Amino acid sequence: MKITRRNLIKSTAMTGVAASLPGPPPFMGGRARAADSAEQVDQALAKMRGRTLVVATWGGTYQEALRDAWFKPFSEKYGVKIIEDGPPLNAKVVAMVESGKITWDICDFATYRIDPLGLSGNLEELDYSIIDKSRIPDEFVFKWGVGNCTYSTIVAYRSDMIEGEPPKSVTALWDLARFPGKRALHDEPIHNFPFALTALGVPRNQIYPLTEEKIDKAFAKMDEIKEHVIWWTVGAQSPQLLANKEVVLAQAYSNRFDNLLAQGLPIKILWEGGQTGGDGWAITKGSKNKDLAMLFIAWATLPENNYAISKFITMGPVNQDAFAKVPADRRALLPSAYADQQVLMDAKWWGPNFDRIVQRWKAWRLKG
Amino acid sequence: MTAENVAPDDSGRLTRLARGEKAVLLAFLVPCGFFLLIFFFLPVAAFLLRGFFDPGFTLQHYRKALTEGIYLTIFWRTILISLSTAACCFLLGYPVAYVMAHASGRMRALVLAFVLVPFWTSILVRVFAWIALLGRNGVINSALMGFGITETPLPMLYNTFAVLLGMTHVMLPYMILPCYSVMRNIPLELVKAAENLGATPARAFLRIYLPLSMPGAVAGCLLVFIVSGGFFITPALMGGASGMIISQLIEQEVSDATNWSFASALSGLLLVLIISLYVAYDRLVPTDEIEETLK
Repeated sequence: MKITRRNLIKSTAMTGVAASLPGPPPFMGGRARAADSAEQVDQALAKMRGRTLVVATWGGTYQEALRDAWFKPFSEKYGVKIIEDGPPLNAKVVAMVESGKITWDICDFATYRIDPLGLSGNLEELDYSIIDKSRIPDEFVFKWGVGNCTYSTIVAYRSDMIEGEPPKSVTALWDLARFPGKRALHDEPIHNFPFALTALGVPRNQIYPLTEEKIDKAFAKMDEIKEHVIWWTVGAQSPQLLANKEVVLAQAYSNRFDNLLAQGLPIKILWEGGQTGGDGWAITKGSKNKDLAMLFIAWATLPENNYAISKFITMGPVNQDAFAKVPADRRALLPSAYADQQVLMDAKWWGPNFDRIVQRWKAWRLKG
Repeated sequence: MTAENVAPDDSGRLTRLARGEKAVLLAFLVPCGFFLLIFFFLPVAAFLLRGFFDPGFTLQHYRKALTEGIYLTIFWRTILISLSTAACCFLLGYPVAYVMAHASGRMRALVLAFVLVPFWTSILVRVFAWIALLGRNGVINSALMGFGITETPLPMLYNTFAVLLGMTHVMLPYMILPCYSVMRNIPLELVKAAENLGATPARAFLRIYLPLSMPGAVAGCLLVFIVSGGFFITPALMGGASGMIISQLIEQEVSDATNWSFASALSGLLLVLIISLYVAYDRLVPTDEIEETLK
């Protein structure tokens, strides 16, 4: 369950991130090279007509957006049939690899799940001579996976439930005096720790990498509100809890409010202190269509295809050249417009640490 | 002489016939037994074995489950919730079963319908119905606040109260039906006879009816308790922050943490716990004797 996420990052912020990195490896030099790789991918895919690819993802409006942005255009252009399945829960992927019956060629994971699954031998390594990573920030490039879109975890409230001065930042979660009532929080450390550290006054750019000391502090901060929390596990739960006024503050993926906002509910989103993360493609270990899967991923991460996700849901592309292709009116709706107020998740830090911290989180949750 | 010869021949044939009949009966069990073996016993055994191997033989997962206090707390909480559910079901269901057993035909049909209709409704539908009723802005709180009975909504959802309510609702038919099937066979004349001999109605009930109906009540309580021990949907959707029970923990270990060896150890302990409680119950309550008496 632990599903979904999604949204955006400001192109400027991402460019900033990319610029601070050592830069693309020498054999992948910039835009001229990118154009080459687009052509090579196109030629290779032209030979794939009639084949089938199974992609596992998370359902709902998110899956519809993936279908409209990528699956349908890809199928139509190259005559490759795409079968959608899911949800790609860790347990199912592990069971699939263990039994040797691989039914999912490509899985769509939150980026922080890629490294743990890759390290435990459940994913194929990606071939970056086929996939062009030169314009994708390092935060979204992994040995066993590559980002496909970005999302933000934020806190939302209903303006008709709050009297007086409205909250300003996700730290309102800890203001029990001014905002009494239940809070909906994701039952995982990954989105809560950055919020807790922000509430403790840690500057945005110093939250990652997490250290044992920061983790201890984050747990202690979580203790303050623990008994006021309704924990959610599936992305759709939290907006529903807020819509029903079960909670006064709801931590959620910002794109999950698209529908409720369209219905005219008085929902306000707090971007200040939110966290931007990504989803990514990965290939299941032992996939019989590894060659085709690699080409699909290469195709979907090209700027001219990667940007399309933002047309159908308020989530952003990961390819830096894709941002310019998003229509301006649409770009203003993406969480990227508030990227300067948010923390960028360090999925690379979480990768090898995830299981250990989650075990500790569970022990903490079970206490009391 | 002929007659003497026939008799042993006949008895031999009868034994053979009886043996053949037994073989036929056993043959009837083969398809289902085979089905259970392949699709139930083998997978369960394979999963339970994981608790001892990771990848070599180890007892670390059982040790962890039995020594880290938090897991024992969750086991204890699971037992308490299951016992409370059984108790609530008994208190609510026993009188209903009595009415069904001894009322007139129409009344019985009506009550039976009320018992069975929810039984046929999906658990998920019922859970969401409870959520709509019990929420802060649910039907009950809106009514209470509308009539000015309370000023702030009562916390009726996402806590142990909600879990107990939801589980009792789901489990009630499992209590009522076994009680009903036993009570139908209890002749009310016995109670009348007791009263005739000077017993008060309460005494007649406690000394005559209640003991005779015990097999049904015990079967119902056992059924409710055992099924409750593995309950998942209701506590997951209606439970609070701290009310996690063992099935939720096992699900988490399987699906999020993919810590299957530990999940297997927890499942093994749950199985042992429920089987031993079942055996203890069976030893303590002489249900067979009562059934014999009734016959």
